[in-house]
Amino acid sequence: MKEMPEELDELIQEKVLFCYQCGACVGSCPTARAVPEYNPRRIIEKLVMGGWKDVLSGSSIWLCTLCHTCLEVCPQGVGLSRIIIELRNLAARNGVAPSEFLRSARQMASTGWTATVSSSVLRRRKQLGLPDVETTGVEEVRKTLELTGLADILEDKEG
Amino acid sequence: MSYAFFPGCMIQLRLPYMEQAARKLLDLLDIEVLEMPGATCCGDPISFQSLGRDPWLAVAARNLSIAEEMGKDVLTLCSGCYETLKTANVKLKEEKPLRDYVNGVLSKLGREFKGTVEVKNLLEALEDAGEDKIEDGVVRPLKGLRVATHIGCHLVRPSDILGFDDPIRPVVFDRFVDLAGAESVPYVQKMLCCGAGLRMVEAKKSARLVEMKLEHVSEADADCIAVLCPFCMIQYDVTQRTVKRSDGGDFRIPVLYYPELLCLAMGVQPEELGLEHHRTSVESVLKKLP
Repeated sequence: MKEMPEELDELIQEKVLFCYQCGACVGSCPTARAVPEYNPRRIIEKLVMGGWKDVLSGSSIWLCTLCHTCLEVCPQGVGLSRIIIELRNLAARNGVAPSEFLRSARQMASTGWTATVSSSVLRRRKQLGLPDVETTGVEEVRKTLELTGLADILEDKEG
Repeated sequence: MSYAFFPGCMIQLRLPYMEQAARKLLDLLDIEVLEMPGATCCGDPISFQSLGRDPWLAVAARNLSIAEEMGKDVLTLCSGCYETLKTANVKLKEEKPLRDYVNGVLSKLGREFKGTVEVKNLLEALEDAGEDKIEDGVVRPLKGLRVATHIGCHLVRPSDILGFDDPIRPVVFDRFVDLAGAESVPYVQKMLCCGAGLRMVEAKKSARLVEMKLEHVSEADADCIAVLCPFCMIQYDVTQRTVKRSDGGDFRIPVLYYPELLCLAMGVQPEELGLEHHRTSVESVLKKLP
């Protein structure tokens, strides 16, 4: 990526530039409590200062828990957690996504579920008298991933 | 009342005892749940939404189209599923270009998102059933049980979409805990995220969030934590076993799913609930029961 993607430019113009760096997002952020080097305000700052390439290729954006607290407390309505999602989407389209995220999506493509189907849990379900787990939707999910371009993202990383 | 039932994959495939308790509770309250043929993962608001918002909405809309065919509102148990399905439902009803895009995809599967049903979480379904009805059913109030509620992020945020309770100072869950005869106790950092969304990439740091929560709950002298979401359950019940107090001791704080608590208050015997499948023993709570 040499040029800034159009979507990102729009995002910066329409949302990011409203940030006045008050830090309410940092104060309310669970990840910032657990990971001292994580600072959501700095992500915004970097975008404003033209450091979008670093942001998109870095690991920072993947540390957000998506608890959406920053979105609720931001006095400027920047909606940081939604910006993080947009940034992740952009990064993923450009071949950058943690393998754990991709694994979870591949699991969905192969079974229809993101949780692993284990025979011991299926046995426990029977013991508890719970109905069988649905398996008939997987083909349609696979097709949905192909039609929406997600299958390409999953494949690219595999190759 | 009857719903298209969407327990979600974490509950169905990791924590079936939660499904067991929820089904029992819904049955006690005459809320009928109908299986959704062909349902899949909701779309997962963390991993899947992060990789692609449009594919995420399309998978969610496909699940919603099943409920629409059944002519039933969706009842979700998992807060992640609630966020995903409700976001898709609200966005696709509001934004025609997005709906047209998603329906273009769904039409290849012989499906359509029409926007004819609502998505509800468990507390909303209980509110609809009537708090009077629950009160009448509580035959063994959990008197003296001090409960630290953890509502879970994805039930209340983002509030502009979900519109359930207050996103920063929610009260509905606490009211329901009180309805069971227990006491919801205040504690520091009550809204701190369980950290499940961080677990995939930074398991140790995510466990640190669990430890912080357990410290605050223990300072408040609570007998247990009550949760609604399977991700919070895994964090507090399972990950708790790997975190220790700063002085090296164990926390041993039982974590209960709200339907388990309410079932106990409604006279269900503990052995009917699969409580032994919790990784952190709930024995101390059972001993406190009247």
